[in-house]
Amino acid sequence: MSSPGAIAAVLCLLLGGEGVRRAFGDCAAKASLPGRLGTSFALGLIWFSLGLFLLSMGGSPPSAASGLALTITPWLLGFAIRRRAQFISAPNPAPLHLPRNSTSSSTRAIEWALGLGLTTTWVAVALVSVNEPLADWDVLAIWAYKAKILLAEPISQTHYFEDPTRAYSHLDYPLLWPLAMSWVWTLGEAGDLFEPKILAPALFAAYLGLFHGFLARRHDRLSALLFTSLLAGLPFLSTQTARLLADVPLSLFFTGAALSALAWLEGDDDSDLRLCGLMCVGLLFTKNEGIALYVILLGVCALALWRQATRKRFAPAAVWLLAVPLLATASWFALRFGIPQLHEDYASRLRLDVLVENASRIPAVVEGFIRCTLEMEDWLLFWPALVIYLLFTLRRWIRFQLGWLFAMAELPILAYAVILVIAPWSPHSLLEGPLSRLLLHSLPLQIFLVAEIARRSGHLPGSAAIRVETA
Amino acid sequence: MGRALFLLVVGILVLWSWASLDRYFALFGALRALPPIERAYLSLDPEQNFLTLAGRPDRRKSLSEREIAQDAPPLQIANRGQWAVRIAETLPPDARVYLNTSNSQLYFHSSFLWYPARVEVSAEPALIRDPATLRNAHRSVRPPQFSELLDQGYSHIVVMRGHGPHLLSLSRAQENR
Repeated sequence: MSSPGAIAAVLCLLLGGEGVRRAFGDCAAKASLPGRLGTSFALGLIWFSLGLFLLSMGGSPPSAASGLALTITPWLLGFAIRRRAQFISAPNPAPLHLPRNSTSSSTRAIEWALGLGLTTTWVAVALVSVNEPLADWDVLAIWAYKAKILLAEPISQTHYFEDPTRAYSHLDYPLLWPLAMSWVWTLGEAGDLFEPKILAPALFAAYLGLFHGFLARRHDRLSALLFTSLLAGLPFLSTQTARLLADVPLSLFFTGAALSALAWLEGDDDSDLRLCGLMCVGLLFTKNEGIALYVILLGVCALALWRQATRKRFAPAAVWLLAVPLLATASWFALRFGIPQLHEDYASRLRLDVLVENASRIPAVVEGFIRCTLEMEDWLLFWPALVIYLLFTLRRWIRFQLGWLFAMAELPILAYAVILVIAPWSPHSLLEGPLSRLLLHSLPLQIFLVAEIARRSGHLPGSAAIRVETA
Repeated sequence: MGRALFLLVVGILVLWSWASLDRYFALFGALRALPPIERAYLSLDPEQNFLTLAGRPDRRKSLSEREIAQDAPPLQIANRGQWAVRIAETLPPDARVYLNTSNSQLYFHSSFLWYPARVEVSAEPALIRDPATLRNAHRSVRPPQFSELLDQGYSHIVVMRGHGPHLLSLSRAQENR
C-alpha cells in the first residue's frame, strides 16, 4: 500500500542516519550488521526530525529539497571532519570480548529456526502495518494531527500551538514522531492514511536490529538471536509498533542511550559515549516521558562515574550527556515553554507532600501494574517469569555488578509509579492503554538484564558460570 | 538444572509468540479483501481487530463477556470515524464546519481527517482538552440560526439525525450522507 515516495522517505532516514553514524566516529561499528542498520535508522529519525523542526521554525515546512539536504549533509560533514580514507572505509574494530559461535549442526539449526522466526514475525507485523490505515486514537488525535499541521504550516506561522480548541492534541508534546510522519507524507501522498504506516516495519526492524547489535557484542550468535526473538515475540511490542504509537521510538532511543552508556562505562571507547548523547536527543524530542528517562540515565551515569573515580571521564560525559542533548533540543524547549499550560502540570505535583497526600492511591497503582503485567494477550507470561528469575538469581546479579543495568531497567517503572500516584486522574482510567505503554519503555533493558545474568550464571548454551572472587 | 529450566522457559515464550502470529496473517487477509476506504471500518472494530484491544484489559474483558452472553445485543460500534473518512474526500480544504453535536469521537476524528478544514463546536474559542470540556464548550444551534452561522463564516454544519451524522452545506442546503 505504500507509494514509492513513502519508501524513498524511509530510505532517506536510513541513509541520513548512516551519515550521522559515520560522522560521529563510526560509533556502533562494533555492532552486528542489524545493529549498525538499526542504529543508523534511529539516528536518521533524530537527525531528520530535528532538522525539519529547525527549518520549520525558520519558516520552511518539510519539502523534498530539505529532505535531500538532510540526507546529504551528514555525509559531507563526516567527509570534512574525518580523514577521507577513514571515512570511506570505516574501520571495524574488533569487539573487546569476541563471543565464540558454536559450529555444531544442532546449534546452527536452532539459529536458522530463530532467524526464520524473527523474519516471519517481522513480515507479519509489516503486512498488517502497511495494509491498515492510521487508526489508533492517540495517533490520529495527537501525532498524525500534528504531522498534518507541520506539513502544511511552518511552526513560525501556525497558530496551532496557541489554539485552546486543539488542547486535546496536547500542544506541548514533542515533535519527533509527527515530523517523521510529515517527512513520509512529503515524498509520498500527503494526507493519505496509509502512507505513514511504512514507518512501522522500518521501526520494528531497527528496534530489533539495534537490540541485537548490543547483544552481539557480549553474546554468541545463538544467544543474541534467542533474546532478540524473545523481544520480538512479545505481543504488546508488535501491536504498538503496527499502530505507530510513539512509545516505540521512545523505547528505541532509551535502549540505545542506556546500553551505549553502559558500554562506555565498562569500556573506554568514546564512540559509545557519543552514541549515547545522540540517542538522548531522541529521548528528549519524542515524548515528555523522555525527560524522566533522561534524568534517570544521567543520574545512573553520574553515580557510576563517581564510583569509578575517574575524573578524566567527567568532561567528555558532560559534553555528550549534557551539552549536546540540551543544546540540540534548546529551541524545542524554548518553543515549549511558550505554549500555554492547558493540561495538568505533573512537575509541579512532584513533591513529598503531594505523594503523602495521595498515598491511598498506591495500592490501586500497584494493582494496576500487576494486572497489566499478567495480561497474557499483551505479554504472554514474560513479567512473572522475569520477576521469578530476578528473585532466584538475586545474590548472583548483585555480585555480578549489574546494578547499573538493573537501575536503568527498573527506575523508569518506579518513576512512572510515582507519577501515577501524584497524577490527578484515577489509576483505573490509566489501565486502558497508558500503563502498558509505560512498561514498553524499558522492556529491552529487562531482557538485556536477563541475558547478562544468564550468561554470567552459565544458564546459556556454551557459557560457564562466572565465579566472582570475594575478598 | 538451572540452565535447562531457564532455556525451557525462554523457549516456551518464544514458541508461544510464534503461535500467535496467525492473528496477524488472518488480519492481513481480512484487510486485503477490502478496498482501502473500507479498511478503516475494520481497523476501528475491536471485535474483528485484535490490535484495537492491545493494552486494554477492561475492554477485552467486556468484549469477551458480551460474546459469552448469548442474549446480549450485537456490539454496535459508534464509528463516527468511518463516516468522517468518507466525507473527507469531498469536503473543500477551506471549509469551516460547525459541529452541532458534542460527540467527542466525531469532533476529534473530523478535526484530523478534514484538516485543513476547521471543525468547531462553538463560535467562541474555548478550551477543549477532553470529552468533558468539549461538552462544556459545545453550543447547540437550531435551523433558524443557520443563517447566522453563514454570516459568521461557516460553510457547513454537521447535524445528527436518526441514522447518524449528516453534513449540510449552509449556502446550498445540500445533504451529504
